[in-house]
Amino acid sequence: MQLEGKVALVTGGTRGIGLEISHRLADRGADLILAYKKDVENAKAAKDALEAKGRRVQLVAGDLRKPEGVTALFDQVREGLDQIDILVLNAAFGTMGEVERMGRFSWRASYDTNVLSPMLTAQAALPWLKRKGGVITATSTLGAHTAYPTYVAIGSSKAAMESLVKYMAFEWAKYGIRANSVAAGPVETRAIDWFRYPEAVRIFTARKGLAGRMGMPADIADVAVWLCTDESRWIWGQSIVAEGGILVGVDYEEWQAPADEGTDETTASDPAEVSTGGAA
Amino acid sequence: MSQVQCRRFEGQVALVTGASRGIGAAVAERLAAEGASVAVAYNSDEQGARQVVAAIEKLGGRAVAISQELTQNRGPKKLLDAFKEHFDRLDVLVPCAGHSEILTLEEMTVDVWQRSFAIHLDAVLETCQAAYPMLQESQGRIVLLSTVGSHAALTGFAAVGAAKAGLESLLQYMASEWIRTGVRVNAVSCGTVDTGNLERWAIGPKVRAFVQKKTTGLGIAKPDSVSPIVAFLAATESRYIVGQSVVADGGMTLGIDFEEWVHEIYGKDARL
Repeated sequence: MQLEGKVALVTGGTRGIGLEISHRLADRGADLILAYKKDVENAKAAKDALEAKGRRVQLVAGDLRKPEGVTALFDQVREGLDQIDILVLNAAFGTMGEVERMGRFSWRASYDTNVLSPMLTAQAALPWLKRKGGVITATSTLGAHTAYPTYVAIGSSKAAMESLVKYMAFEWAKYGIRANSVAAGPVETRAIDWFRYPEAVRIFTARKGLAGRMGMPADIADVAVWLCTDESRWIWGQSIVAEGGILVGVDYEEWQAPADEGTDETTASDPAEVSTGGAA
Repeated sequence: MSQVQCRRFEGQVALVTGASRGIGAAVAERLAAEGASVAVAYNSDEQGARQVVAAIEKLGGRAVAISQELTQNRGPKKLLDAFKEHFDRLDVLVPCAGHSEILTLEEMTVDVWQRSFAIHLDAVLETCQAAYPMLQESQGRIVLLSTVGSHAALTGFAAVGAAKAGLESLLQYMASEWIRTGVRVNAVSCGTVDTGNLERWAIGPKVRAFVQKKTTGLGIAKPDSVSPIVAFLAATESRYIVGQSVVADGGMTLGIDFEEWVHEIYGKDARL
């Protein structure tokens, strides 16, 4: 229980990776403030599950893309638990589409949720974070470090967010506030279905990556929560990439076996097929 | 509380080189504190290795000191042979052995340069190669120790920095080739860590002052600032992190602060 007595505010903390993070923070003893936009039913279910772990949980609602929404949300914090030691910037939004067809509205919407909102939220949380020296952890995407199909609005806005987080770490070190990001590879959440061919994302990830499977919210939440603990106290202003090894290395041989041997494609990922003998 | 860190390495075996002092010693003690049996590999500091073993045994852990010069011919192979006499499995390999000499490029000699590459790069490759068969069996993890000096030029640190840049590239290759067999390789890229060597260097006091100033509120890193990160990268929690070098420098190389000398230039009362 490394987080007893601490309060964590998690944006988008009621579903997907955010919910997984909330649970793990609760497991380590933290009380929670869950910020959600509008799905009350879902938020209440999350609250109930976390309270069952013996934690205090406050739900706060608001549109964090607008200054007045931020003000309203943090008014609720002030009247509620009135403490923030850990800020998890997790809420995300994106419109899928190629550069060629990207519209101004979709573009702006991604940047509003993924960049402007974290900035406004962190500014508003600052007075609480300053009290004892807090931690900020943001969830980002591997799409900020490489290019995915139709992912430019999300990938580029998350790259901007990672830069923002670096600036927070740089400027707020004087308050003892530590800020980092975790950049996640493809993870099985409802966002995967935004891809035009979600099954291709799953197959690629399982075949190219470590575990022969898609990433799960817990894979990322474990890293995010660790970044919120004292164990990572020497990590400042970094983005920790957790992507199961899908981007490590360029393997010229990976699609070769099926063509050469007419076998089914699963044999291509068998180390025995690698002629250099690197896996022997 | 499944993920609460306490005994993440119960039943596992770790091999740590350079474990008689500094970061290696802290890593050995940390892994042991979480349940791992640890091979404490060292070169010459027998007293230091004995102290590390004693500290581990005092906490109820198991540790064995193994002496081996890693830069001699087949040194890493001999280390693994000795290791196998004590342990029948290997889960975590942390090559920490290193040696820093501070020289500007003008002062640099081939000897210093080669010594640095021999210990920070060649010996690491050979140690990992020798350990790889056992790591495959256990779905093991390798955590390498690097430095921010491999990306940024730290005064007088070229021999180490360049060798560690090579190591960070080797990291990519090992991670990429070995992930297929379930062996996960990552690195921690440290800032300046006070391992007791700082005062040995002429530039030591300046380094200390600089780092104190740049890592606001943190001071200078100690070996146990780094060991929790190594432990994390060796634990299941980091299962989705592959081939990464995690920078842990307390903000030492984070940002360029144009204002930091302003008071020296414009006087104490200068307002920003």
